[in-house]
Amino acid sequence: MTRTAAAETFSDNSGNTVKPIGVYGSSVGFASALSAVMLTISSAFAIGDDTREFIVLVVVAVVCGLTGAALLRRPFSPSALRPVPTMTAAVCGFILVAAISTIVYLATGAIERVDDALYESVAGVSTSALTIFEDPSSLGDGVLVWRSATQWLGGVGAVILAVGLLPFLGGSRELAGGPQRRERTRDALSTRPLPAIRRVGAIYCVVTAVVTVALVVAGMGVLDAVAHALSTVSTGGFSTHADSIGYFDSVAIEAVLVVAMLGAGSSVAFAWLLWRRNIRETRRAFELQVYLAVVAVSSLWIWWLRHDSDIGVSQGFREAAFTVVSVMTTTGHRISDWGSWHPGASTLLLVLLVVGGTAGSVSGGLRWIRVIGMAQFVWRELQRQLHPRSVRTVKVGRSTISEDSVDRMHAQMVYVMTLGAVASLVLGLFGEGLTEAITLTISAISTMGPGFGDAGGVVSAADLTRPERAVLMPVMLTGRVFLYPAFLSVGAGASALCAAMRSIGVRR
Amino acid sequence: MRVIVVGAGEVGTHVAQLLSREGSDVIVIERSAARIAELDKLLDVSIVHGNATDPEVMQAAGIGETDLLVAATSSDEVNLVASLIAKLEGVERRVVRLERPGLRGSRAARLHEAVGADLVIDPDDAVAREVLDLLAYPGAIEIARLADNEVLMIGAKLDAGAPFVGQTLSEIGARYSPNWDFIVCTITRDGRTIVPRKDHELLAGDNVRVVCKTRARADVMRQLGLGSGEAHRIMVLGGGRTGEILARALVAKGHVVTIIDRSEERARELADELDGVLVLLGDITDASLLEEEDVGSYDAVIALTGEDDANILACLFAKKAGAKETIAVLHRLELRHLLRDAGVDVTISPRTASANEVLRTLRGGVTAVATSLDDDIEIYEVEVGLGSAANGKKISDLGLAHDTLIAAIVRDGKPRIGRGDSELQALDHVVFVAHGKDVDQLSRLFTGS
Repeated sequence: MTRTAAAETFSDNSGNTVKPIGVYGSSVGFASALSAVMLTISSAFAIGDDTREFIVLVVVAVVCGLTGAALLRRPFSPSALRPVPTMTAAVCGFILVAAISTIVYLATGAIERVDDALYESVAGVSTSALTIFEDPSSLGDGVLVWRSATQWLGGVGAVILAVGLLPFLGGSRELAGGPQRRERTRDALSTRPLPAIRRVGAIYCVVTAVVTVALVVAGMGVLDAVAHALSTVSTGGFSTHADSIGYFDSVAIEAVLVVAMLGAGSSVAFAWLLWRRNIRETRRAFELQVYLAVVAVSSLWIWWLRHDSDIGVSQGFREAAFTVVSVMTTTGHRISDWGSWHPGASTLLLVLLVVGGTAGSVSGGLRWIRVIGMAQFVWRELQRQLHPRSVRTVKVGRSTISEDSVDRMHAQMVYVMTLGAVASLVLGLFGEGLTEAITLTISAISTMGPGFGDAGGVVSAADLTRPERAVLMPVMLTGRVFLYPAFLSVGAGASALCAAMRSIGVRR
Repeated sequence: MRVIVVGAGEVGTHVAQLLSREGSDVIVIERSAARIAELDKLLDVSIVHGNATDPEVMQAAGIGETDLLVAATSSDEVNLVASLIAKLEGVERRVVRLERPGLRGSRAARLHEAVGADLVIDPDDAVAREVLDLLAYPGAIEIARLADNEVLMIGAKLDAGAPFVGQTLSEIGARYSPNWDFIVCTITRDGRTIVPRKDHELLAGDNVRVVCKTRARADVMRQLGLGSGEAHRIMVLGGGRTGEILARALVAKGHVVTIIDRSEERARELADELDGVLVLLGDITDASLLEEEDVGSYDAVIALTGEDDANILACLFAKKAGAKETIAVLHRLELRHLLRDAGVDVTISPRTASANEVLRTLRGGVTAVATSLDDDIEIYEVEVGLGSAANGKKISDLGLAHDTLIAAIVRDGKPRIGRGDSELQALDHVVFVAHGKDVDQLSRLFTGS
């Protein structure tokens, strides 16, 4: 394959000129191809369970597979990797998976209404656990696996975006997660986007397989193991049972899931370093240390807050630790009804939910690196009052964060607050209570899903009206793509629309 | 002895001066013609114009017959190459100035071996260490550690209130007899330095040097009228390399450190590198900045910039504002004795500490050297050789000149103060005080070579 720099054209083996695909093509190609793989796996579970499901899954898989293959056969032109189109293309990828999923739900008859199917699909790709199914176990096996697979696909997209794309597209590499090192030019994963994406994908697949096997060993059935592995490594949180993980009531399963969720909430760069046996480098990761310390302290704190309730000491600790990890990694698995716990406990969970996991992970939220950075920033401002001419840099652990990145941290905080305020406002207008409106919004932005009810208990999608779900859909999706890519895509889409209207002669 | 000094900067010039004063044959290689014109007035040495990385220049300087090479330019690369050439030409000993941290220390041992660097010196590091020593002994103007830190030389100016003032040395000696822990080695009065005898009286305003056992230092400090209690809050003026090394060491020891530099870029770098140090951006002679930061509340203020006048002014200001101790680095030394009365407690020069190390390498068997900028008195530590003339003799039988003093004898790690009837044995470490010109002869007496 030869390439001339000027014309950006490629030739195939027989010498014919092939037009390379850009970011949109490759985004659609990847989304279709990965969906096809997941649909095929899902269809295997439908064999002998539901023939209609099997046929639908296979047909959609074939269509997706062909589309993906047709697109990905053509060479990719890396020079097209410009910020706004790439981010817009990534958002399109998410929407495409949601569309495929909507078709699957409707064609299999799992969901009857288009808006419900679309909602469930968006909740899936945005890795939120806010499902409309009160009892998912009534669904067919193939659809159950596919439902978890939509979260897995959303997770892949998110982690590629977080580690493989955003750091290279004018984002902050220091904020991309991974061990913080002093030499900024040497990233943990790669200094170029494509190898980074490839490695991230490989890590994600291997981890999913390992978690599946671990769950089977811990005593889950194969169907449940696959479904939960897919929805756990993506911090999604869809379960196959109405009581979520509480259904199994097994310490072994909970332990496996806690470890898997903690891993999903930490940067993939750590997995990469562990794989390379670079333990020393991992130990230096300040953000990871803070994250794990917060998990430990919060679990103990919540356990202590509930120590006088009638549950036993060990059961209390199990519930506290599992819930803290599930909420903090924005997964949303449940083993008990945390919404009705001591207000101190649920408030702490809400705060943890805002922050989420570490940078470069699948989890949503602000991420601990920003909290650490902002704390340093605030400390610096206080010190400036005392010493007006002091010079101080913002550091995470031992590595310095550039002033540009500090600015971006501020911007990200403002994005989250603005989106949260607007969404809560609209939910309030639709008649949600103050607590529900705020917790649901935070939960949606952080991609966990369920909110906390005022009267106790966890708010699920079944409690929401259709207009409310319609409000939450874009919020969840925006949260999943780390906010600003969504804003940029909307802007890019709007300007494209204006251009199109002008070209057909529409004037203001 | 024939010595080539590469680079006639501050350190190189001082080393050349010291060595030529002691009778060595010194050749200086310098690249800048302007600097050579200055040197001609300053030094009584031969000068070769050229770059020391050029083997022909080295030949012209007579590298083949040279015993010692001191590569002291400010460029690590030039120094390394000069050392390598000297090694290839068979020069016996090589002293190399290296500044980059990666080129120093045990990590670079293989590199040192390859270029034949016997001794690596770093003036910035040496200044930082000198300041750290001085801070550990507040009020002292000179500190030297000898004999594996068993013996200490403390230099101080006597205030009227010091217990020693108004007493003769024999009176002081009688009070401590027979377990003497210290000995007064030199007295500097009205610009003249002498090695005192028993009937000398100490007066207020004298500069004295006392050699003492390290464990008796607290008592000696008290008798000299020096402060106790280590400085806690320290302000470092000037964020150059020395300042950075010093600030890092001080923070590691638990001090509260503030550092000021006037370059924004450098201040940012310092903020990056130094955790737990307050970095300020500003000029050290900007009175409003020093006032704003309440410089008077600091226990010690250390001015380390490259500009003497700025260092002096900042120290004077700090002293007036109430800072307990002020230390200034000076590059030109003519007026330094005036400053002590004005309010700069201690002045140090980047050249002495490095020069001491060079002198140590120059003489086999010598383990420590302390020289002074004020006079030509040097303090040496040597090991008594098996076949030396001093082995087995009493000090009074050695026939030493009246201005030479054996201050301490360290045997098996235990220090004793030298008396007329003390007997010397092989392997003893002897700390002696002498004029620079006598040192060669004396060290031959002790080492036997």
